[in-house]
Formats: sequence, structure tokens, C-alpha cells
Amino acid sequence: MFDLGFKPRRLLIALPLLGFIATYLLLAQEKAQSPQPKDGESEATSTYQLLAKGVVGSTPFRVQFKSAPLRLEIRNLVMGRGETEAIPTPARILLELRQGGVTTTINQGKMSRTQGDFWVVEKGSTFTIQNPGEIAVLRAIYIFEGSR
Amino acid sequence: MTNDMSQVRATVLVLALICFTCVGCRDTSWRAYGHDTTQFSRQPNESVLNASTVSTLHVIWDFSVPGGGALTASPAVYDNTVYIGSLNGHFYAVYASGAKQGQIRWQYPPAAPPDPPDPCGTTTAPLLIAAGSGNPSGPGIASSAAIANSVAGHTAVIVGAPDPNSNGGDGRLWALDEATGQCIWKSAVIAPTSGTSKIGYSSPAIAHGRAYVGVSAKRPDAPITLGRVFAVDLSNGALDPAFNFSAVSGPAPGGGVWSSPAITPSGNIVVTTGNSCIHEGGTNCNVIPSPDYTNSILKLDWHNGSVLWQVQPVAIEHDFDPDFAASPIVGQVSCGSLAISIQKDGYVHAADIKTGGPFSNPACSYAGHSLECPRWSFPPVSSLPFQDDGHGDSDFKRQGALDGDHLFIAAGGLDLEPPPGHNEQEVFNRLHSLNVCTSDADRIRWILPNLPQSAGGVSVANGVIYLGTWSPFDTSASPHHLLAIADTDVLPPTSFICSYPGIPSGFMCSSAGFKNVGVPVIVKDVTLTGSIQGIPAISGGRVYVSTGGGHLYSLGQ
Repeated sequence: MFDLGFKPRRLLIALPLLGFIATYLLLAQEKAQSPQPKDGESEATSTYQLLAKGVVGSTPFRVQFKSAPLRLEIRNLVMGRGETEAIPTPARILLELRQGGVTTTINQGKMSRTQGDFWVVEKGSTFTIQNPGEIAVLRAIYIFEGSR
Repeated sequence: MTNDMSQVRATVLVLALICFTCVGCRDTSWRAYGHDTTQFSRQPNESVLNASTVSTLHVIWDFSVPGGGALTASPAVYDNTVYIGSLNGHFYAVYASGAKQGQIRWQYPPAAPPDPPDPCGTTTAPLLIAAGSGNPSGPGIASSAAIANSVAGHTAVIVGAPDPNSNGGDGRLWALDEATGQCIWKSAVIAPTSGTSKIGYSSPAIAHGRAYVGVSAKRPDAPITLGRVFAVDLSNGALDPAFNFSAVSGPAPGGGVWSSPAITPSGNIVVTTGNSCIHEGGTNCNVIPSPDYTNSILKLDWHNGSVLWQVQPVAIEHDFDPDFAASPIVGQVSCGSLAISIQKDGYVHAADIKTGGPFSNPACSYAGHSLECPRWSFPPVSSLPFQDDGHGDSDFKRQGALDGDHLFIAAGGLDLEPPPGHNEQEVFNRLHSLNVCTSDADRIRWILPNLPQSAGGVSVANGVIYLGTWSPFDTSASPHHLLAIADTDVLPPTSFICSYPGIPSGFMCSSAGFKNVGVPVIVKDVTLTGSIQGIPAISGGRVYVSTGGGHLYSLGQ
């Protein structure tokens, strides 16, 4: 009866990847390499870096798997109104739009994304984001395979 | 003829004298929770305190509640008297200035048995709920008082409180003579002890010869109660049978009114409501109510309580307790008439008040719900209602203050979505100033970050914002702060901050598409004993502040 925002296409992309990640999390003894900030830690210690003109990324939260050649880096990509220059894609990136509505261009393919959408950007892709609103926040999971 | 001319001259002289003296006798009272029924929390007639003089602000007197008793209500100020009720079940009238400043003018119930007997049957027993009390808004008085004229020939203090002589604490409104404290009437029962509701933090809004007040759960969400608004006849305390608003209809409760109603320029009522029980558990809570007025800003017809429009930002299936705990701010700004409030998830919503109705907009409606769209939300949202589970109780419960088009409020801000590994708690300790009549791109005027504690009640006069810091439900004697902050229109900012506060200001901020906005000057920081849950009341060169630690302070130069 209610629109729950169910989009089968998103799940087709997201579920295998999430399953892949979950399997490794179960099998491997992962180790978080970024220290967890303490509750109430001041904003001044929350550092962002400019990833490309138009978008910043939060300090990566790193997870190194011991029993598999896999490293994850989880960060928020944050942008205001405007369009980014090409965002580096040093690894396969699983993205979720957490806030706002954006248009992505991946290897010249444009796609509108709404809050809650998942998608993947392959390593080495040309990737830009256009945000017509005042705020867009994306959760990005960088998947470094073959990395210890 | 000569006599006539003399009389005319004398009359002109008297009139001129009255005009001259009235410059110095403008109404500086603070008659209700948010100053008046608009809930702007703004003192328009303050002539002493401003950005230049407030730097010497200090405690003039400190009234400590006798025997202890938290003050979670806000003070009202009228006739050189500060009025406030305590969770200990006593209502106090304290001299504001003069030789007896800081001393009790009267208290209710009185310290000694009244002679002749009190017309409302009260002896000396405090106004408490005997059992199943409304922790943390009880067991006594959490409702802030309102001053009303022409109440059966009196100027009266109207306040919600339990009646100890009625089933162990039935909730009623009480009308007390402002000068003597004698009870004029107590209303018919509004929140029976046998039920699940009480008059909690809701304070009466006075209009149309009535006092409008809401009820909420005795104990927050344990269990959820049916939110209702009542209209009480000021002449005799009778409930107006023609006025009827219930937040839900059906077998399950919901929509408690924790806040204080506001009155629109044309006299209608705006209220905010709390959550449903859909995710709280309980009998029939799996049934979607119809109508469903939970978690909403609502405009009600003042005659009968019928709903003229509803803004419900979070769809009921995703109701994880994002109540509107804050009262609405309602009134005229340069771009029309707005009703503004903040939900506990940190989002501010502003709706057009409009004339007439009922109104709805398909763009913001969903199955079983004909809803209006807000004019704007902050942070901006792409569509409403939210259809995700990320909206709950993040403790954004204070309503803010409005001065012209400038809103001062403890809001979530653009960075409500914390980066991985960070706690959303980080965004509580800041104050935003928003322009309510601009586009989203220019909404943020300034941000005051890194406050020593969470930002609480706010009021404003002459470009100075008075902000109390608070810790929700804290009734201890822990130190908190009253800050006097100069708006950037009256003093230039000390520095700049990115409008997305986690990003460093300067080049990186602008490169990411955000704006560098000012950080206003804190002109004065006064440490007080206890959490400041209420609104600092500004009146006649003084600021009156109540604390959960049981202190009522008067601060001045």
C-alpha cells in the first residue's frame, strides 16, 4: 500500500556486492585501521580532503582483511550545489546516495540518482557528479582487491 | 470662551504628557512561553539591553526553589513579577525588581491554609500527580504560564497543573489572580488521572476568550497517548464543547501535543504533534490510524478544531520517534505568513499559513494522507514525506526565536549525515541563524559552533540572542551557560565557518560548493546552576532564566 522506495535494479547491483563484503567480514578477521573517533569529539578533528573540484571526502575508515587480499575504505563524499571535476577512481567503488538528489556521469553515461540509490563505479572510470540542490552526501565504499 | 480654550490647552498638555511618559512605559512584559501567542520569543520593547550594554550582564538575584524542585517551565513576566511553576507542585510569583526583588510575592498553593478557604478547594497540598507521575515532565508543573486579562474581572495567570484534590492529580488549567495568587477557577478536567495523558510542557495560548492547551503522555512513550487540544473558556474554566481536535482516530493512540499552540494572524491555531505507536509496540499499534495527525504541524480552525492543513515530514511507516517536541513559531514575515518548527531529527520545516482551507498537495501526500508541502525545509530535502528509517529522536527539541526574517535555532544543519565513524551527537552544540524568506542557497546567515553544551532555549531582543545550554531531562545542579550572542547585523563576525561545518572554511569549502558564513560574537557567557530547558524571558532590562537545578535567575547590568 505504501511506497517504500523499492527498486529491484538497485538490489541487483547492491546485493551481490554486499553479500561479497559480508562473506569476507564473516570469514576474515578484519582490522579497522582508522581509529574510531571518541563520542563528542570536536568537529575540528573531522578532516575532509578535496577529492576533485566540487567534492570533498571524509577521512577514510579503513578495514584491512587478514585472510584475504582485500581492503575497504569507507568515506562520505560531500558536495554543495554544482558539478564536480573528474573524481579519482583508484578502486571499484560502491556508492549509496544518503542525502539529496544528483546526476552522475560514468564514462559518459548519465543517470539520475535519488536518496537511497546504490550503484557501482568501476576502477579507472571517468566519474563526475552534478548536484542541483544545496547538499548531497554519498557513502562510498572503495574496494581495493589484491591489497594487503 | 476663555474657559473653553483653557480646557483645550489643559487637555492637550495632559495628552502630550501621557505621550511623553509612554515612551518610557512601553509594554515590556513577557506574557507567555514564547513571549506571546506567535511564539517568536522576541522582546520588541527592550530599551536597555543591546549589543553594547549586554557585556556587563550578571546575576542580579537568584531565587532557589524552597526545598528544591526543578524548573523546566519558562518564566513569564508581568506587573514587576516573575511567574513560574516547579516540578515540586508549587507555582511561584517572585518580585522582579525593587526592594523585594527575588522574594516570593505569593505562591500557590499557599504556605499556610487559606482563610477564607480557597475557592478551588486547594489547601496547602502541592499540585502533584500522586502516582504514575509524568516523569520527566512531572510530577508537578512543567507548563509555562500565560497572562490573560479579563478573566472574570481579573488579570490572571493561566497554567496547567495537576489537581491533588481530584482523583490524585487530574490535569486542569488554573486561573490565579496575578496580584494575589487567589484561585479564580480551575477548569474542567482535561487530563484525567485514570488516563494516560497529562498537561505536560504545553502552555496555554490565549485567544478568543479561550485558553488553548494540548495534552501529551504522562510518561514519554510509555505508553503513547492520544494527543488532543482543548479550548477552555476564560470566563469560567468550562471546556468549549464545540472545539474538538484529536491527533488520531482509531483503536491506537498517538500524536501527543508536547508543545504550546500558537495563534495565526487571522486567529487560527497551529499545533505540533508527537509520534504514533507504530514502532513503540502496544495493542492495535500495527493499525495505521485514519486520520493520522501524528508527527505533524497542523493548522486548526479556532472555532471547532478542524484541520485546515497538515505537514507530516516523515511517513508514518518510518516513524521512529521524530516528534515535533518544539512549539511552532507562527506569524508575519516579509514573504508572507509562516508556521515554522523543528522535528527531533533536526530538520526545520516552514509552512505557508494560508487563508481558508482545507489544503493539501499531491506532491507531499501518500496513501491515506492528504498533506501539504512545506515552503522550505532545512537542511533542504528533495522530496517529502521522508520514506526512509533515518528519522528518530535526536533531541532537537527547542523551538528557536524569530526576529524579522531571521530565525535563531538549534537545528541539525547541512551535515546531519555524519561521516563514517562519527557520532551524530556532534551537531547538537551549535546555533544556526537562518533567513526564512530566501532561497535554499542563501538560507544560512551564520553558525555558532562548538558551544560548551547542547543549544537549548533561545530568545532575542535588539539583535542580541540569549541562548541557554541544556541537557535534556537533567534536573541536577550541573553548570550550564547563558550566552548573549550578537547577531552579525549588529556586530561583525569573529571568523568564518563552512556552511557544511565539518569542512574547513576557505578554499576547500567554496571548492566543494558550500559557502563560508560568519561566526557571531559571544558578548557574554554567564555560568548558571542547572540545565536551561526553558526560554530566557527578556523584560525591562533583565533576562529571567529558569533551570532544571531549581534556580530562577534575574540577570541585568
